Order: sequence, then C-alpha cells, then structure tokens
Amino acid sequence: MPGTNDTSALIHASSLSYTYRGSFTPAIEQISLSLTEGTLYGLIGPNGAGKTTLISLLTTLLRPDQGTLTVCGENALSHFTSIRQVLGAVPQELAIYERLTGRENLLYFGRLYGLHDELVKEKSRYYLDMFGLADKADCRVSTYSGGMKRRINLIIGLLHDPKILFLDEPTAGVDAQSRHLIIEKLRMLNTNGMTMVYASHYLEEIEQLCTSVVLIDHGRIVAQGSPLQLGQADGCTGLADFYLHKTGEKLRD
Amino acid sequence: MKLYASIIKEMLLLLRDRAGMVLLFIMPAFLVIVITLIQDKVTTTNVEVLFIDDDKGMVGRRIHTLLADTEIVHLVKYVDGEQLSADDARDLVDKGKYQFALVLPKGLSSGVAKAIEQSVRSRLFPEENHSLAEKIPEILLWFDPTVSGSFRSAVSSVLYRAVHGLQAELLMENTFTLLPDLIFKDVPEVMRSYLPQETLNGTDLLPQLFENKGIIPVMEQFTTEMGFINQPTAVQQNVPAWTIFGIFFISVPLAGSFIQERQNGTLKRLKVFPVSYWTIMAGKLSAYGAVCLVQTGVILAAGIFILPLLGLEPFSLGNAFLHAAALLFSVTIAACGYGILLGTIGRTYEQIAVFAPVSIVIAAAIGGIMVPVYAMPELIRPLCAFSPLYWGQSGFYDILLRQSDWPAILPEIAALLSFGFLSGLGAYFSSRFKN
Repeated sequence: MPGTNDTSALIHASSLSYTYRGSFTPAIEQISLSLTEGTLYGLIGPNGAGKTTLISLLTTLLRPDQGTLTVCGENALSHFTSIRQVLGAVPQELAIYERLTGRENLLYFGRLYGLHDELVKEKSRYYLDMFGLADKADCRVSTYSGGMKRRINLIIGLLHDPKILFLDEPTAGVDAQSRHLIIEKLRMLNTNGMTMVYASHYLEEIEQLCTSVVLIDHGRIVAQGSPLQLGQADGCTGLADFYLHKTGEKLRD
Repeated sequence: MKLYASIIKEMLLLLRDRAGMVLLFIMPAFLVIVITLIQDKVTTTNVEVLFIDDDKGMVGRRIHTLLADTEIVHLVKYVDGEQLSADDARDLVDKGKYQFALVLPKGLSSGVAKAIEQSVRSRLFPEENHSLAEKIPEILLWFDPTVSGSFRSAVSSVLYRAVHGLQAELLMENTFTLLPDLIFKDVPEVMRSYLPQETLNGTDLLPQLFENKGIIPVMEQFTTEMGFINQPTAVQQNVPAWTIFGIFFISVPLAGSFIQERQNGTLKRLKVFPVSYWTIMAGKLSAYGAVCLVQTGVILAAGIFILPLLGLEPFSLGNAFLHAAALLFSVTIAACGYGILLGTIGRTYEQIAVFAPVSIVIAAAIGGIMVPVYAMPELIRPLCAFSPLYWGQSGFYDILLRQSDWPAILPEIAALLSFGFLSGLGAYFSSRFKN
C-alpha cells in the first residue's frame, strides 16, 4: 500500500525528493510508497503535479536528490542495471523508430533487454497478435496510425515480461477502439500477475482498470486508496469529483 | 548482442534515410568527378581556337604546324562538318560559342616573303637602292571580351611565339640564301670558281638548326612553402579532398540521429534499459564508421575507375595504401566526434540541418578542399591551419606529392584524432550539463 514501509513490496520508495536544475520548487517532495505485486496502480494528478517525474524516479531514469528506492529488495540506486531488467516502461512520447518496421523495432529493443533473437521473435508474434498489429508488423512505423504507434510503443515495454510495468498516459490521443483494446489487454496482463503503474488523465480508465489509486499534486501524495474509496470520500460523487475536490478547479499550466 | 543490435538498428536507419544517402554517397562521388574534370580543363588550358587560313600559303601552313605542336591550343577548322570563313568565325566568337578565332588573311605568305627578303637584302646590301616595303596583311586574333586577361595572354603569347619563331626562321633562310652573293660580291671573277659556292649556301641546314628548339634549358618547377616539387594534378587534388569532405558529411546524419532520438524520446527510453550508454554510442560509431568505409570506397573507386573513362589519369595511392588508410581512419574519427558534439549541443534537427553542412563547407573552403591552399590569397591561407579537413588533405599531400613516410603524416593523424577525442569530450560534458 502506498506510504507504508512494506519490506516485502516489489518497489519501496522512501522520502523521495527531486528538484530539476534551475527550479526552486521540488518536482517531487518526500514521497514514500510501496507497490505490492500483482496490483494495478493508478497515478493521477493535474499537469505538472509530478506524475512523470515520479515514474522517472521509480524507473531509475532520474536519481533522487534524497530518499531511498528498493526494487525486488535491491537498492535500485546502486544496482540499476540489474533492476532495469525487471522494469518495463512505456513513456508518454512515442519512443520508437519511425523508419523501422514494427517488427524491427521490437527486435532491436528486445535484443537490448538481452533476449536472444528466437525469444524476441516469439514474444513479438505473441504481443503483435494480442494488440492487433500482426498484419502490419512488417510495415514501417511511419505508415502507422496514432493508435497503432501507441500499441507498438506499449509492446516494447512488455517484451521482456517485466515484473512491473510503468505506463505514462499510454492511451493519449488514440481512438476509442484502440483505447478499449489497450485497456482490455492491460487488464488481462494484470490478471496474469503483472504489476502496473498507470498514469493517466482519463479518470474513467483509472476507475475501470486500477485497484489502487495515488493522487499527487505539487510533488506530494494528496490521497491514496481504491477508486471506490476515493470516489466516496469527503462526500464526493465519484473519482472525478474527488479529484477536483482535492486539486481544485483552477487551471494548471 | 546489445552492440550488434545497436549497429544493425543504426545501419537500417541510415540506409533508409534517402536524403542522407544522397548526401553521403552521390554528392561526394559527383563532386569528385565534376570538379576534377573542371579543374583539369582549367589547369591544362587547352583552348579551342577557330583557325581560318585564307592565305593558303607557306606562312599559314607553318603557323598551323607551330600552334598545333603546342599543348595549349587546339585549332578548329571545321564546325558541324563545314569549313569556316572569317565571317563565320567572327560570328561564333560574337555569340560566345568560341572564345578565340585566328584569321590568316589572303596574301600573307607572299607579303611576308617579300618583306623578309627586302629586310635582309637592305642590311646585307645597303648600297643598293631599296624600294619601300609593302604593307603586309595583318593576322587577326579575335577574342570574346569575357575571357580573362591571363587566359588571353596565354593564347596570344603562343601566337606571338609561333610568329616570332617563323620570322626568325625566314630571316635566317633569306640570310643564308643571300650570304653567298655578299661574299662573292668583292671576290674577283677568276677566284670565284675556286670557292665552294654550294657550301656557302647554308639553307639546307635550316631544318636541322630549328629542329632542336630547347638549346638553352629552362626548368619549370613548382616551389612553395608547402614543400612539394610537383603541382598536384586535378586528380591528386580532388580525389582525397572530396573523400575527406564526404567523410565529414557523416557528421550531419550522425548529429541528426542524436537529436531525433532525444526529441522523440527514444534516447530517454534507452536510459531505462539494462544497457550502457557506451554500448549505444559504440553501436552508432561502428555503424557510421562502416558507412564511411563504404563511402570512401565509392569515392576512391570513382577516382580509380571512372575518371580514366573521362580521359583523366587514374587516382593512385602508390605504395602508400596503409598511410592513406590511417589518415582516412583519423578523418572518420574526427568527423564522428564532430557529429556527436553537434548532436549534443544542437537543440533541434532544423538547427543542425543548417549549421552542420554550412560549417563543413566553410571548413572545406578554408581547408583547401575546393581551391588548393597554395592557390588561395595569402591573407586567407593561414586560416587553413584551423580546418580539420585541411589536416587530412595535408596528410595526402605528404604521401602523394612529397613521397613522405609515417613521421610526416603523424602530426596530421594526431591532430585529427585529438579533434575527434576533444569533440567527444565536449559532447560528454555538454550532455552532463544538460542532464
């Protein structure tokens, strides 16, 4: 559960703080959380709240100014190479090579995870089929629609069967059909035991998909609990109502 | 496996970048052929001159022979299969289709013969009564006003040399012919039969005397502070020059690949992969280095196989293959270092797409790639020391023109490797600062 000091947790972060160079305000301030195996966490918050920074810290992309981070019981700040082997990340950007085909992208990233070619090909076939890209796998990514690019971006994070998958707005800018497919397949993967952290602005997705939600604002955890608990807290009528109640209606940059 | 993956990925990306391929392969190969042909044409100054011989006499024939023997002019008597008249020739020069026309007017030979004989006779026999010389019809040399002064001087000096040579020969011929008359003039009649009259007439010797034109030797030697004895030929200048230029252009797609990876988030994504940044970097450098190798092969092949088909000498490294390989490897390291630096300090792809080629073209211009350094104005010449492209070119001058060995090219190799290393170091610190 977030905020607890659970040593059996898959990820345990304690008092994480991070301030970007040139900024006087911390992007993340004293965040402590524990992520337990098999849970699908929703990470919500307004623009600039610190969602992407928190994911960057938890995936070892950024090194915290303060605090400790353990992943699978190992100090993630000193053993990040081995830690990265069990983490999967699906960034907000479409971090793929447009001049390569979908299959070539998967082969490249799979090899970087240290997987041998046969295994990468097998995993690629499986996930391409799962996400409806099998017939377009040998086309260049530049010819893909936005939804297809999102799906290939997601598959890259899944290739090595990570213990925990971080998804930063994986359905941004995609149509309802693609979004539905992505949500369905993520739910299936979570049911099969994959732990996930899902950051999104789409609260209805969070409500549908996640078993636990962390609301952050101004770099701090504002609230945490199941979608149902939060939606009913403080007399609110749902998660969206609770979100606005906690973060205010003032526009953010 | 991870390094292999990076190399394959970079190769695929590079091969599918059509603009990049044109920039790396077509452009330098095209430049090496075109610029070499142009420079060869300019440096050998073989000029086409329209030749109209209305004289049809001895002078016309001999001027034709003397001019045809030079390597500077090529005489054209027919255009589109038709013999030219003086009016046709003037029209062609007026229209700028030809730059020079030489017209030998009617009556030139007879006028010259009379004038020469009269000139010799008046000096040998001043006591005789000599009539005034007739005006000789003038030889006309028409030229296009756009032709530069030095070019015009080259052609006119060839003509003057031929005319003066012919004049000397005719003066000598007439002197030899008239000399027996001068000798016999004061010899009593009874003694004349005892003198070897035939031997005194030396006109038979003339062809032999004028055969050897270079009795007083003149040695033309290229001398410069750069220390080479022979001026580089267009092929020796351009093949290494454009190879170096082409290799340096690798920095454009290399820098572009860094910026694209940074902009589309792949670089950030790679940072959460269990792979070191050095593996990613080594993959890039290996792939771009391999492309440089192929590119170098293409340009050198153009120099060795295509240029001879166009009438030029083939490019040859002689016994300096290893020296050239070491130089080209160093140029590749320098170019890759520059590409990494640009890719790190550049903010957008558009910025680099403009800055990188412009900076390379400037470095090529001051580095003697486009115009040889020794042909540059003295004011600009010292700037070449700041161009890494010149360091490479200077190394090639060492091995091709100075026949130097390893000690001579080591400073250039060291300078190029240092440039590549320092650029990489600059990129590292810039990247750390940004992060």
